[in-house]
Amino acid sequence: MLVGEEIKYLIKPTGWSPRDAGVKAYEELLEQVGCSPKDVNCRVGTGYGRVSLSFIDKAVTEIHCHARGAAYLIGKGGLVVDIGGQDSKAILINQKGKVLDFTMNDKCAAGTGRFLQVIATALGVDVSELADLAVGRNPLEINSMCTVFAESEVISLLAKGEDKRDIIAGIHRSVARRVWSMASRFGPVEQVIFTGGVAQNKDMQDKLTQASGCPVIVPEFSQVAGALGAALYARDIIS
Amino acid sequence: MVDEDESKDVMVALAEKYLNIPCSCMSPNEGRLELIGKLAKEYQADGVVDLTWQACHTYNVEAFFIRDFVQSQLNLPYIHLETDYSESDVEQLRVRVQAFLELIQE
Repeated sequence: MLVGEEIKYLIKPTGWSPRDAGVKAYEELLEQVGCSPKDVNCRVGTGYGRVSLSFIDKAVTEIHCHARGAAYLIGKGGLVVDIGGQDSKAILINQKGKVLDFTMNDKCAAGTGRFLQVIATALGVDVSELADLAVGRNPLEINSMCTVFAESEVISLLAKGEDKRDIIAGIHRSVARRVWSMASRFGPVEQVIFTGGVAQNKDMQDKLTQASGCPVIVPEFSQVAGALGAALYARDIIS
Repeated sequence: MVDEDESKDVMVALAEKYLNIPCSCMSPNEGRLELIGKLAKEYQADGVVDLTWQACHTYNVEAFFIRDFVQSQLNLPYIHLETDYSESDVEQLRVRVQAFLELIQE
């Protein structure tokens, strides 16, 4: 939400109903900011739930919203790498946030936040703890791309007596490599702008830097870059 | 369709027809680039969608050259999709196709 130039946001797990979660998040955010639905000039929905939101004026894909949000946050173009819960995407943008080209992972969970979630559960930790556990550790080789097979591989490594922290570092490296093999088709870039929930993970930032061989920038509000982009599109509609 | 030429052997006519299809299993397959260029011009295309049926590796490999040709020679937006006949990935495809249309409209 944009209140003037101020960015206000609220993050809520979608659960099983994107429609209900969307409405709830919208209402709670309005309450937090202290305004009524009448004060809102325009609403743009994005993400997988965008088609099920009834209160929005327009739906824009997360590809364009992430591009727009990222360009706004860093003020220049480049390659946006977004790793979210459902998918990962690489978007080549110019300075104004215009999408020049994009690519997404296929319909499997490998190389996404969901992958990290599954592994975290198998290791008995929360996703928010992964970064601290993995920093500075010696990453183990994870050979499976598939989330289900990788989970079995992790369990085998645990049975072998390997350190949990080395396994997590290995998992991070495997996600970073997977995402970069998809993103690298856009050729050498000066910098990578890392957005989405997984960008909050410090060790993932390091692993993506190693995989890509170029500086990785994680601007403030990068987790909500998509929502910010949607708000910027909404502002375009008003003016 | 096979050309009607009474003087030609039926099998030869069929074989010639099949061999002229610019399928990615042919090598080299320059006919595909010519055909895409011709069709894009004829229909004044705003973009090119390259669809690969899942597990068709030759089309997947060729997508690299098609992307390069469409973007640098035809100067058109390009998207490569990989799917199968099931409907399980409809929403994932919707994101890609919608984003592609937004890219064209921008």
